[in-house]
Amino acid sequence: MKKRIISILLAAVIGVSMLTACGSETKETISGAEGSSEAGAENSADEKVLRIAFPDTLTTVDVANVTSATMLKEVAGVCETLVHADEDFTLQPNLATEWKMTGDNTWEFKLREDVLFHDGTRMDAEAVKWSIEWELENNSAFAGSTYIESVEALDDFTVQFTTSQKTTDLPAALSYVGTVIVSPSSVNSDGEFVTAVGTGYYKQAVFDEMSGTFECVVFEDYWQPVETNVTRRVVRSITDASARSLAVQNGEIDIASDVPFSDLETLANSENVQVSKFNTARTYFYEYNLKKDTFQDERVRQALIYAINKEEIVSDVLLGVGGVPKGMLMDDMPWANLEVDTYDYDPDQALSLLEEAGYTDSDNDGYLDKDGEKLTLKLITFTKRPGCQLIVQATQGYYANIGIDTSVEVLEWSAMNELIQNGDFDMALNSAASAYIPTPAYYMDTYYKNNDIGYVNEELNSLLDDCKATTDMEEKYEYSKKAQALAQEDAAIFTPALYGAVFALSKDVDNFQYNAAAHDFIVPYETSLK
Amino acid sequence: MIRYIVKRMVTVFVVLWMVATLTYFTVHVTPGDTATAILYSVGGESAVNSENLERIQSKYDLDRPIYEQYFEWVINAFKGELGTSYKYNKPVFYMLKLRVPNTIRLGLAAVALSVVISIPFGIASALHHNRFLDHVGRIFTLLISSFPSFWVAIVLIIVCALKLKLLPVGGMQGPQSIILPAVTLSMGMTAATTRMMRSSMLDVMSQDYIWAARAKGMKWNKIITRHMLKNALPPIITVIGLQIGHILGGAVIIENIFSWPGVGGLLIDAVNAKDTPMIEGCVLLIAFGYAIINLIVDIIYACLDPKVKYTGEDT
Repeated sequence: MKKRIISILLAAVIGVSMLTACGSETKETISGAEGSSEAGAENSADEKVLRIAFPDTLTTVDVANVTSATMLKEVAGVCETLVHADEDFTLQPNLATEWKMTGDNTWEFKLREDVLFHDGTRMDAEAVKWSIEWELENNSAFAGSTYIESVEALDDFTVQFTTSQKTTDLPAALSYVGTVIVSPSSVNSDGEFVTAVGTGYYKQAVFDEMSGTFECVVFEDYWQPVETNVTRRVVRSITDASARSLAVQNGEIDIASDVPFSDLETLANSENVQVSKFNTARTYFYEYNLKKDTFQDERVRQALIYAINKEEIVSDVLLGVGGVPKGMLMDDMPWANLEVDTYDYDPDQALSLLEEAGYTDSDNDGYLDKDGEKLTLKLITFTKRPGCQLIVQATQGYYANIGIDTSVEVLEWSAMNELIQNGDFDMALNSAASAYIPTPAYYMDTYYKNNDIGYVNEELNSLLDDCKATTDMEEKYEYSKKAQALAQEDAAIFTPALYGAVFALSKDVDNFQYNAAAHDFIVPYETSLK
Repeated sequence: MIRYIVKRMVTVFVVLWMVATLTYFTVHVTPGDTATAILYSVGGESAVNSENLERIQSKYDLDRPIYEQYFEWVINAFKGELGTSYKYNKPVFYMLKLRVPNTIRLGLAAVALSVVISIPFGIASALHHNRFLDHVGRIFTLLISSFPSFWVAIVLIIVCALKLKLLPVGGMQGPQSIILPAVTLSMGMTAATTRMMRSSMLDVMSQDYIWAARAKGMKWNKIITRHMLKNALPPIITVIGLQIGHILGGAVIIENIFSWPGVGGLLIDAVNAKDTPMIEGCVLLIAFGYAIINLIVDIIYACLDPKVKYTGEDT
């Protein structure tokens, strides 16, 4: 009896293990799939496979999922948007050829007539309507980010968007990854999004839902010529930064983004790897808690910026991954004001301003104080961006040099956000994509006009409203630049460094260009293999 | 025995309910608003604005009192519905079904590896008590239990993948992909099981019946296989059962390092996004696995050792 029980139990265990050993691979393919070719960069004389590490978990190809949409548009090259933002942040026609504002809340977009989806059907206004409505319904962040309320097909190749508020920035919003255009055949009869049938140069071949590996092959009927020798792209989910770095070194991956700063030297010395650094439109920025008396004094705010050596932060702390800001934004942005005061490193000036504000080392303990109270600052930041923790630690050092005691807390972003809203901090280091919607007003509207730190400047808000109201780009730039000048004078929020992206590429990768207007990073169609 | 199993299953469900409740409320008292965490995880900081937050609150009923959300979740859980993942917008059960086989596969590989190494090693160590092999074994187990698993993982990757080019760095690129994560995961268990095996063998070796068997002239090999192993193994089964539970928890870190698409990766993403349904699903799965494995171990133990009778007490 006992032996029977043991036998049954062991058989059950072996059975489970056999079942799991057989695997439960869920591969979704479309017709014409050429099978998987994960191993090696070249399976046959004709096939060139570009392998890309994606830093997030892929669980779906549904374009309403922003992670998925980012991968499909920018990494795999399977989907496209109506509008495209160039490297210099100017908007270009893409799937749409022209657009105009037809009312306070309405816009008309004319579509390109020679675009085919990967299923062979023509991209038309009904398909665009379907696509936008799918995203509106299934992406909770869509409406709030684009202000799109509804979309109608006026004729075969004209769509009308209605927005929930007056916005001159809809064309820029339609370059956002969440607005990619896909065919209604992406959804099965049960209403489930199963295949990303887009318009891109590559079309979906295989998606392994279990491992998060996506493969795509060249779409022969793409609407414009592309020069590349890559016939297949394989995108693998590798969420750990060290794992991405090791995968490139081992020759398993051709392109990996956001590798650890500590690996840069090893990667640069590796014979199979090339390291490329780029400045991005993302910034690091410090916010003061203006609800506290300490920061009501503009001299204190400016002094704390003078105390930080931004050049050293970029070169020594971030190891060159990033840029020294000449204003608050990336230099290449056409609306960036590079003639503002950035309070360049001057610890003597910092001490002088603090002394004017009443902070001196009256008790000779090495720390500044005022009215018997030591100046102590609580710096907070978040975990996701590794550079943030490094910058905050460096800031702690700079402040210690001028006699300011600091404590540092590193939290998850939502936890940091909660502390900011509760006012339980002195300075918060955050990071933001200043070209999430690539318009002159977006960044300041999001972080300067709408903030939780108690910063209010009515003149700045008025300039931003004027910027959003006009459709003339030159006027937009002017309003934005004036707003930036005001913001820099107030010094309530400041940029210690521009965010840099670092890529580890295999030596086989050729023609990789970085577009700072990308949501994360773009692998252009022209990227090839030697 | 049947009554015992039924009693244990009731206990298992009580334990699962307690684990689920503790987890549910712990997630909600951790810093950070849930709706903010969800939006940040799906769209980055730029997606976090008042309009989107309202939409998320409404979509997932997050503006209801916490106890209301909890009771609804418990009732649905009893019906077998674990809810929809906030981050992935897919049923939790579906996501777990995709990933669980991989975690089980990895766990079983680690256990198998550990058993294959630790039992013979422990036996050999005991039989060569205080001699060279014993010292080697003890130093070996001390070393592998001292190194943190994530460090071991990186070292193995550097040596076996980068330098020797024998194995891949991670992912599921073929049967060879399981080797490094399984080896890493098995190390702690190997150390503990080897020591227990050695200790158990030494205990048995000192028993009178072993001396009697030797005095009767029985061959040493036969004494080991017929008498020693039979009496030394039962406690090891319990240890292995406990270690399997640790492996299920330890797999979370290892899966992340090796990009192994298991439950661990889901759990880490879920914690970062405060994706409560997914956290609950993963935690329940791990707790259930732990409880069931220990029940199986106890049954096997009773079968192997006739002195153990599960009538509520050991006899």
